[in-house]
Amino acid sequence: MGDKITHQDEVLFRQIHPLSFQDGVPGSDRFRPSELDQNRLSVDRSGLTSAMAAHALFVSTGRQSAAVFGLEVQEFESESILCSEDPVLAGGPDPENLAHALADYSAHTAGKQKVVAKRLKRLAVARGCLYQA
Amino acid sequence: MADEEISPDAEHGISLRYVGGRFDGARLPLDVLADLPAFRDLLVAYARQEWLTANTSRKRVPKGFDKSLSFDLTSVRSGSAIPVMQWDRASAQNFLPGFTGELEEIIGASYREIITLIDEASHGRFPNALASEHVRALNKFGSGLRDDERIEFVNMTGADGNVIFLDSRRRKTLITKVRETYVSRYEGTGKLVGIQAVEGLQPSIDVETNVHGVIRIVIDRERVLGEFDGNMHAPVQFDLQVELDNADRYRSIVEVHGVELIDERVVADLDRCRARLSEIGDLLAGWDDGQGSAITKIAISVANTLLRKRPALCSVYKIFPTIGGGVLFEFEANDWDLSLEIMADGGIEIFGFEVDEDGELLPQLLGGISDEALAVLDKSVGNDGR
Repeated sequence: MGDKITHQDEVLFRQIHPLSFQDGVPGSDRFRPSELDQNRLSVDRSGLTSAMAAHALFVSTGRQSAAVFGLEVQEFESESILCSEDPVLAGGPDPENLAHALADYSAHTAGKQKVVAKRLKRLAVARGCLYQA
Repeated sequence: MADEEISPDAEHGISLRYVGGRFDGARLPLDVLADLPAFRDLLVAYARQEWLTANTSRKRVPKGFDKSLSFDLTSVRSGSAIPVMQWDRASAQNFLPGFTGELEEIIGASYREIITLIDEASHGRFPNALASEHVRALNKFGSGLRDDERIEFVNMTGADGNVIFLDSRRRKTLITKVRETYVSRYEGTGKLVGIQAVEGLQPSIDVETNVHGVIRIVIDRERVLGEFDGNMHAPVQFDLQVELDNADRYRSIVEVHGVELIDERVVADLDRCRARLSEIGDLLAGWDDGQGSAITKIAISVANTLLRKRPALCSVYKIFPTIGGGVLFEFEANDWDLSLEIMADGGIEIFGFEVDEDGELLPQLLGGISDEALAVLDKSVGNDGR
């Protein structure tokens, strides 16, 4: 993991798959890491990109996203989730993404992560959809 | 078949494994208990046939024969639920003294016949005919099974190496091959199109259904007048056991488990949720950008059961597929933000948190849509969920 993100009010963007987006509301499972993610949730930093640009880069790889929601670093930290820089550099299989970051859920059990994700989703929904395709 | 395991031995008895979400944790719903005497009746039917075949000079089985074949439910083991039945040897000695050895052989042979019947039927091979008492017992055994459930015969494997089991599809095929009709569970919604409450006539309501047209449901006269009279064309939710023919055409109602009026708005919400589940159920593996298992049939079936059991909550559900092949229901109720996650194997978890308060409900792994799961759900939503 890279350096910790220190800007507490920086919003981190999260892409929402179309099938996890119903009537304008995302599923809470999109706010927790899947088993393959090893406790780390992929996000993009608003300090380095916009919601629209983050979405465009995401779908340019063939992946699907219906909407972009966001959470502040301090909102993650209020749930004992630390956020770190994780830039994707050019030359690899994925396109360069210097805004990429990771939210680390490893302080919580898998069960607890589900409840935490629900609280975070609620905060993200309250902030509003930041970009919708 | 595994011959060394084929006889129900005196020590371990006969074990049937009920597989399905509502059987998790060694639960055996009361409406399924009727299977056990039905299975015993089937065994007795075969035993009578075995005895008469072995004693060709006799036209009838000896007095006390049926009573000597009584079984006790001695335990319900877990995994999902495994009722264990044991032959009451002492009782047999009372009714048919000196015959217990022969009876034990007959029970073993009869059990083999039942297993063979079901195994053969699963490969499309059927007897030309069965005696009426066999068919009657067979028509009761497993009649409470839902589409995603089955009864496995513990330690009994077929020629293909797979455990021998009976599910609703195999039941239907088997029963309709040896007779014209079979009994099946039918849950759904319809529209009230008629009532009958005249003194001297059988009180009933007529419900128009999507699948079987208008069906007449017999209920108490007081209910006809008190609940249904004056509500013509209102939506009705029902849970029935019906007799269908071999082309799945409705013949009659065998038992009414439940019937009640529901709100028009509830029906619209129910339809919306069912359509969403149908969409989710069609997803192929890899639906989530290359990840994401196909949503399992059992998860969809359990999800549909949830909709049927608590239709009033359909207005608040958001429904999502999960990467693991399950279904996630999310909703707010009673100042709680709740999730009900149905796993790929049909198990369910309920979790959530109290809005604007500190309360939280960590995931509780429950069986399928069991009474316990519904009780947790009802407590969480605070208004009995109905």
